[in-house]
Amino acid sequence: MEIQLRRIDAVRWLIPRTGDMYTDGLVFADDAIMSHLREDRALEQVANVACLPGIRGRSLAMPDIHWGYGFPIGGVAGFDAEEGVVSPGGVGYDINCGVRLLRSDIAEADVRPVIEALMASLFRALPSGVGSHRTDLNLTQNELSAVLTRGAGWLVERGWGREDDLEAIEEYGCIAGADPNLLSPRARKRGLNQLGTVGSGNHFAEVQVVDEVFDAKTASAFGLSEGRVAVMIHSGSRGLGYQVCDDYLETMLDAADKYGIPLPDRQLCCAPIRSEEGRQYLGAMAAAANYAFGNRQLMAHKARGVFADVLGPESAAGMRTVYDVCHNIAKFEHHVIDGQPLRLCVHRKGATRAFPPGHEVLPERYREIGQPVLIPGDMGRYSFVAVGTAEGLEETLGSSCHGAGRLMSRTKSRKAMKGRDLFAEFRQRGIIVRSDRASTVAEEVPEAYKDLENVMDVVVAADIGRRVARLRPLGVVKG
Amino acid sequence: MDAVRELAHTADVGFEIEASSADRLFELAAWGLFDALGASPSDRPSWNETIALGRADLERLLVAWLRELLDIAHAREAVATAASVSLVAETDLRAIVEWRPWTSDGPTREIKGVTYHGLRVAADADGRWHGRVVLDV
Repeated sequence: MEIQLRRIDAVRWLIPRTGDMYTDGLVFADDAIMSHLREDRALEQVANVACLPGIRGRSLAMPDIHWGYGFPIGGVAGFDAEEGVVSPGGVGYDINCGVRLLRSDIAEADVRPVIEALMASLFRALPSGVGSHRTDLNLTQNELSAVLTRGAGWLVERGWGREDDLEAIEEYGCIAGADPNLLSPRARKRGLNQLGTVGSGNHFAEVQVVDEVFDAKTASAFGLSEGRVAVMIHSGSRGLGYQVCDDYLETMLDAADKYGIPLPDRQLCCAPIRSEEGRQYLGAMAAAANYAFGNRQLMAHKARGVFADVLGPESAAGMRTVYDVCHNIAKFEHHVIDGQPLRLCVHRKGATRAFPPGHEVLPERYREIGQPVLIPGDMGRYSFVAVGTAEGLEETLGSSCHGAGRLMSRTKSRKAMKGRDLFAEFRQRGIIVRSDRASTVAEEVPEAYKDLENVMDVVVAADIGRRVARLRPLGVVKG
Repeated sequence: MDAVRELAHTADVGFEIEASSADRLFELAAWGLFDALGASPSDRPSWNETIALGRADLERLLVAWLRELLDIAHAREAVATAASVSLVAETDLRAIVEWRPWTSDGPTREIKGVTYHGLRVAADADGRWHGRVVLDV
């Protein structure tokens, strides 16, 4: 497929509507990012999304766009709640993969002497790796249904968290409409012992320090100040979510046939939102998303426990949740497009909601300042906290990037790192890495990722997010 | 020559297959999958299992086959060490798979899903079969 591309300005590129596209594509990229994009088929995927029925506004790609499957990673699209479709390919396998950030009052200098012990304890408390599971928690079927229905709230009620955690989670830690009965027995089985686990690949739990503050007022409102320690957790719905996606891809392939929806890529299979198949997927997806909220909630609780053990209960007392964002999700939101208020099912696949100051869905504590946008980088350099903008709400359905995006394939990275003692190299840089798998670390080295700073430059230039703070890792738990 | 080759994909992992028949393509796809999973068979006793699947077309059948193998692998903590596949009418599959428990190291990679993205199963004019599979990892 020949993709036409028209440059709008330094960071915006239009893919004009042609052929079966219902709308234009809009890609946020500078020259460097665009040069990488031309090497794969991510732009074609932006155009493919524009071919799905009921899309409103443009098919969007955030500055960390890269080649995915179905939707590009970094893809955002809104579908009319009445006439549009919902697609598991627009959400991804890891439903509600997302990020939580805990702030603290602990100074870096107080953590440095105990960082080895801290990371060893975190590594034990947060099971990581392929198929990782907890040996201290095996949910009953009833308990699993409660997590699927109520998300993080169920865990807080059990004492696994604080009341103020909930208001600092997107959707307050629970997406409405979840129906645990729509999950297959296989999906449910996979969820019984994986709550509170990191998983593998690019998922992690990091002890970080606030390295630089760019916007003191907003950082203060988020509870972040330079030199203070934070904990960032990146994980999702684990095997349960993957299974839900697998199960419903089959349903959606049949549905696309049934409703006569032409598919430019089978991974974009979908069903009308108002169809039985669409309703079922949304109910199952919400349940998996709630599981992911519960997963990060339990890990946050365990992390606080580790800090209390190693540094004392007073140190852990200030570990408040800054925010918890989804970056693989489809949710109903109200937006204005071409002056028309619409209720849309917004798909964000590797993209973060980034609502501006004044948005009605934000909790009281962030209503005037805007939503914290958590953007993890690679394990050697830095992550960012940004804040949503009014311009972003208008142009990107209130969305921003979700990470740096890979530069190198996993295999290429493994080969390039062969023979190097990466754990020792990180230690020399002041970063303690704990992982059972040297191969995972080899796949996840900073060299394998784009520089998040460059992606953030585009975010800021495009006005789809503002830098608030930069955090650098002190210790990393990798799967 | 029949072969499985790794596919360059920046974010995920995939493989391309060339085979003399559709049956053989499905067998080689299993090796592509287990190569990506990265688990090694232990020297514990093996066992055979029969897998029977039916789907609307060959592409869906290939995805279903690989998903089934992945499910069994995780449920039994085992890797397939041999597979004999027979396809009927491009919609039904019957296979006998030899399994062996994986070593204590387990898999090196978590495969989230077998995707339909860029999926390909087709024969060329010379009757050679070509396949492409992308895995979400």
